[in-house]
Amino acid sequence: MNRSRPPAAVNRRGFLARAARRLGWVGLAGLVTARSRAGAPQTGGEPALRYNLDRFTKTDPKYLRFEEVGRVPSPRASLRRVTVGPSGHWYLAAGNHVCQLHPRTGPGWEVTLASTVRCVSPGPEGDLLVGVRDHLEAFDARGQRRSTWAAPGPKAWLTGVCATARDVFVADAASRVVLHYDRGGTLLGRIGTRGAGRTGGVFVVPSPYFDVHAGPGEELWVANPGRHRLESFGLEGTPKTSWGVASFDLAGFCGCCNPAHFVRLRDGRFITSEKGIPRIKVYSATGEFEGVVAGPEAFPEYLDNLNRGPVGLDVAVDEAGQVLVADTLAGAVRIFRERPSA
Amino acid sequence: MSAPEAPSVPTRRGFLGAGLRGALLFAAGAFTTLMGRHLRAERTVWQLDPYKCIACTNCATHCVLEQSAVKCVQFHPMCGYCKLCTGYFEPQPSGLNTGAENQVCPTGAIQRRALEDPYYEYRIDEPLCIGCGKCVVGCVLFGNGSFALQVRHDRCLNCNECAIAIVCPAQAFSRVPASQPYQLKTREHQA
Repeated sequence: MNRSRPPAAVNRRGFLARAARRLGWVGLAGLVTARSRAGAPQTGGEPALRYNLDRFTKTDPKYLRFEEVGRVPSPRASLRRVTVGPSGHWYLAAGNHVCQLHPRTGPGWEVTLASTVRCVSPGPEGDLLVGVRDHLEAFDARGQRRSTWAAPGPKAWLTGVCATARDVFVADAASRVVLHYDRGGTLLGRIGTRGAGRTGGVFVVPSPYFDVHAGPGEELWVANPGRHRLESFGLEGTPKTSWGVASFDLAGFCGCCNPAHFVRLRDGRFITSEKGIPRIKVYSATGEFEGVVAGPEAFPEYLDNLNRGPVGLDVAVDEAGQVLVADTLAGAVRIFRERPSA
Repeated sequence: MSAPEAPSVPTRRGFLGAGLRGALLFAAGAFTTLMGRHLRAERTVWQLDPYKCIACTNCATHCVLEQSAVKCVQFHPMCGYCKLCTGYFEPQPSGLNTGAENQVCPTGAIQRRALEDPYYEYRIDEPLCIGCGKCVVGCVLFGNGSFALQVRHDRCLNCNECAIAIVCPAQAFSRVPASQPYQLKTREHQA
């Protein structure tokens, strides 16, 4: 016959230990609950409330005329612009710096400015014009500062510069005009000012993306992003021609204001770059859509970039006809070469 | 001659009693300090940082109010007054007019008014806005980002634990001084 076990004696030490253990379990459970509530983001959202660009973010492969053949990392952070000089040197504007480098020999000189560099243009003799927000600075071919040009106005916001042998054209997004200077920095005129019978001015520039490119010949091409087209002028400012339509289709320029940047190939074709839906395309010399250099799938992080807003992908063309893209988020210049079959 | 007093023997009961008295004294001091700080501190309210916001639509669906206290606001100094506003028009609209099928806003809460060609003004009709942020995505993705979500303090109940802040995936919500209840966007932040 079993004897019943005597009840365990209640003692103070055992009571306190049990209470501490129970408190610990309760605390742990509370912590887990709080974490699960705070750490489970709900980003799905109602489909009707979502801004849907899915159908525009895939490129039909039959339109892809270029392929990526390489990447060159930027020596400095915050890469913004890229351009190619007459000797084949690349000039990268990144943060407050302009870095010269050659694709074969590597980095060259570097200059540092007081504020963010917004545009760069090499001159025909290897000299360099660098635009910060409100003025230009001129450097010689060895990177020595030659002069600082006067600001065109107190609110100037320079976004594009283009130097020829005789002239310099500067795009000012704040006043929505292209400033025409001589090589010494004397202001010769303004292109795009309000004229008789025209109330809205020539250029519509909702955001600070306003690019300009001279040549070939006596021709100046200016992006008119708010009207979704490229426009040409005589060097004295006479309007000549324009092309481009607003459309989310591949043949048009998407969003409120595009193209953000453009450049011309040696054969006169245009390479354009759009922000919002990042896509780089090629158009004929007369503005017919030919194909895609790089579609949105080449820049997936740009579509998920709501905290920073749109980032423009600057484009340049090297001597071999390759398209250089300043990929800001990747911090590298990406090189695209035309496919032989294209 | 009196005999010397024997040293008191520490007992468990005495030790615990002294410890309890000390803990009570400490708790009273801490409580007084915290109350003093609380009374001196400035009143705070909930607000969301427009530069952290990813317009995930949670603001429209998680506020304890039937219609969210979060509304879209238009920062007019930043607006490009675009003819083709991507915050107003659906991607690839059939026409640049005020047809409902062309509008991004599911409740038609954005008013479009022509200024001089080619500029248009966009205003938020706040009673219609549900704070979904669909227009914010369109504006920020392509344009200047002049549309942004903000907690409107004429509606917000200033809950101790904001139901939207708990689920905000961008952790954009924080308590801000009631004297500066809104977080404004600026052109300087652009580009």
